[in-house]
Amino acid sequence: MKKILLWSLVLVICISMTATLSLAGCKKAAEEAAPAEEVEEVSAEEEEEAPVPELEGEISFWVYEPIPEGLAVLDTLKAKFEQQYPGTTIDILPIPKGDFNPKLNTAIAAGDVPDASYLDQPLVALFVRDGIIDPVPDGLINEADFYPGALNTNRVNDELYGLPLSQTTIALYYNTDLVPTPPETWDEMIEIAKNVYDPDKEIAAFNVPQGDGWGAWLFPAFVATAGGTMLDESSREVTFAEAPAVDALSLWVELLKYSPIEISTAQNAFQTGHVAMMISGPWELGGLRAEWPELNWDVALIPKKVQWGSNIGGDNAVVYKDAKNKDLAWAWIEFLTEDENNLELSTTVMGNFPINLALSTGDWLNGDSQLQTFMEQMKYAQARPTVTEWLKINDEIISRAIGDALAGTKTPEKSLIDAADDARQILGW
Amino acid sequence: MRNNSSDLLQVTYPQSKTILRWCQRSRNREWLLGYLFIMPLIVYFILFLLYPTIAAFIYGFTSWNMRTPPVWVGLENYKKLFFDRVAYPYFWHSFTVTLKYVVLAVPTTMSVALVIALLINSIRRMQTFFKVCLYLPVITSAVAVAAIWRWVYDPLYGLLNMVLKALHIQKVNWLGEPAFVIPSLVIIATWSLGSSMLIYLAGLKGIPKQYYEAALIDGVNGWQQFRYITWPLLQPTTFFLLITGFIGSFQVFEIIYVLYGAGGGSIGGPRQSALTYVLYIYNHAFRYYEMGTACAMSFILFIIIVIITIIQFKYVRQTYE
Repeated sequence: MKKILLWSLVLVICISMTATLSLAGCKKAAEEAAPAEEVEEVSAEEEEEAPVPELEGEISFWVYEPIPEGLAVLDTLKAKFEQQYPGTTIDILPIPKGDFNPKLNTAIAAGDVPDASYLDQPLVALFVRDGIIDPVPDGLINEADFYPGALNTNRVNDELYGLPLSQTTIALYYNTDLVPTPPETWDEMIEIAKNVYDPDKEIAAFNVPQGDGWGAWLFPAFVATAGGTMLDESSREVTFAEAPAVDALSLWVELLKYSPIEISTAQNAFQTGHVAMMISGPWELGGLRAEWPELNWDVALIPKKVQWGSNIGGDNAVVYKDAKNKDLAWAWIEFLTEDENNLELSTTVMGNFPINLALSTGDWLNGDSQLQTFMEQMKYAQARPTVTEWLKINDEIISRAIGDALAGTKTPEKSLIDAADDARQILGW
Repeated sequence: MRNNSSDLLQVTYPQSKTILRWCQRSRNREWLLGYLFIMPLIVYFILFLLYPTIAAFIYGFTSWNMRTPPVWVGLENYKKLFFDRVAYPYFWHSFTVTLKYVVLAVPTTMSVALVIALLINSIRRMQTFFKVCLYLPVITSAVAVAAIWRWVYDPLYGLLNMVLKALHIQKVNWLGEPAFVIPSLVIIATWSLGSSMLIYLAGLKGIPKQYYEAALIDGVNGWQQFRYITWPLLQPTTFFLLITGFIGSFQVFEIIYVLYGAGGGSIGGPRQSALTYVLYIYNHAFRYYEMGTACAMSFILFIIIVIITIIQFKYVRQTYE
């Protein structure tokens, strides 16, 4: 009797464990099938001014995990949309930004894509090339409403494949105690650096970007201020070994003399007054204002050599080819780009700037000179190259060139020329 | 009861009588029971270890960005990894960095763990307290560990540099100066010596006390005790820790990933001095979307670790004479 009981118990445990393990994969697929049955007929694409159309069903929307205030705003936007279109449900899934791309890629590989999601600007071209996202339906938006730069980060082969949700750029933060007037030109910047550098008080002039992925991302901003570019995609030429880029790298090498990395790489070096100037984006504003009230600081445009320039960054929203409720997804994304909604989304939730031209002036900017400086800088921001291999070139070739030049093992010119040769080999140009 | 069931079955399913009788034989029962007990583990092993390994081996011969179906390229990935310094400039570099780390981290961790185990073994009262304290680093999350050590190693305000300043020694940029990066990482690895220490403690407890008593009678001192009794009798433990230490250290990734900025252009610290092999694999798999290359690289790592383990089995003494 006891033996039979023992046998059956063992058998039950083994079978249930085996079943759980093997069905774990199938379970997800089953869950995916269920919402698909809930989706009912949906109308054609909705127009901006159209009366409430027939939209129903549920979509999943993946976002970067925002700060808690951002989550609250997302919920408000979701409620507003669902109230406008009863019968719809927007399923928002926040994912930490560092894990977002790997998770998204894994989901695509598993065939488990969300209906729509954020997408980092440079990935749009890659996803289009792999045929994973759908073009924007005709008549969904009025292109003239958008900042052209931000909108064009979605344009591949003259067609739009997503809508911008937020844009951002980088500018010069400076410590007003150490630097009363911000530099406007490179020469002024070097002068100020010489004066401000104080090894005894452990004060470095500028947070010189290092030879890593972040530094390589910042580099094109300075190249732009020298009037240069990184790649010329139409003529398939690598341009980052020409004079403007060499000058930009030489500027960094010069500034490094007055900015020892032992000081600039300390935690919160700028916030604690050990670094006089740094390049960063609007995401620093919140932290600086809330946590460092004793620091006197301000924002200025990146010093120019021949013209103002900067990088453009930001995130777009795309709808996937395998989405189950595309009309609802596009309607939701378009909703997020409308005036008031986009203001809340791009600033509070994403920590960047709105992409809707109607918001380029407005009460929300009033009195905030630092935000206005960023909006000004945005006018001169240039997009990254959209070649597929850019991230690898960024990480392994350009950052190495920057690292070599800053370490003094090669001159800026030689390191960029070598880098350009390598880049040409990788691109096949 | 048995008769009833077997009669019933015989009426409905004659073959089952044979099976039932086979099962009732205790020798078969034990055999069957044994297999049932290990079946969950076998299923787990096949699904999560064997299948992914075989899949990775096959994907190593493809070019795959995870969004589109893989494209067969044969030995292209391996050829490019070994010979194309433009496409994969840091391949050999990452291998050297990892080797440097392993050669420093494993002996350091093991020797410090042994010393601490000997110390703990010699005290009478607070053994558990020390064991717990020294084991805590092992179970602390890597993110917390990185946050603490980034502060300890901070070039301006860090704990270490404050101590150096007090001793009038020049401050060191622990995580920013390429030459100091690997030693700094080795120190962090040594700090989490908890598991090695516990295994050494277990090994020490396995040494019979009679040997020490006999030695005391013969009049040996502490060092001779260690050299002629403790160390030889710990040989199996040392061998085990050496093997597992090497295997684990070759795959170091987590601490470097969180220390040097996860997910945003972390290419292994200043001048790539902390670009270990697995970090390089990670970048290719999840940042540049070159999954095929990443699989090929992980297989190369597997072969290297197997070779090193075989060498260790051949040339390192496993037990005392």
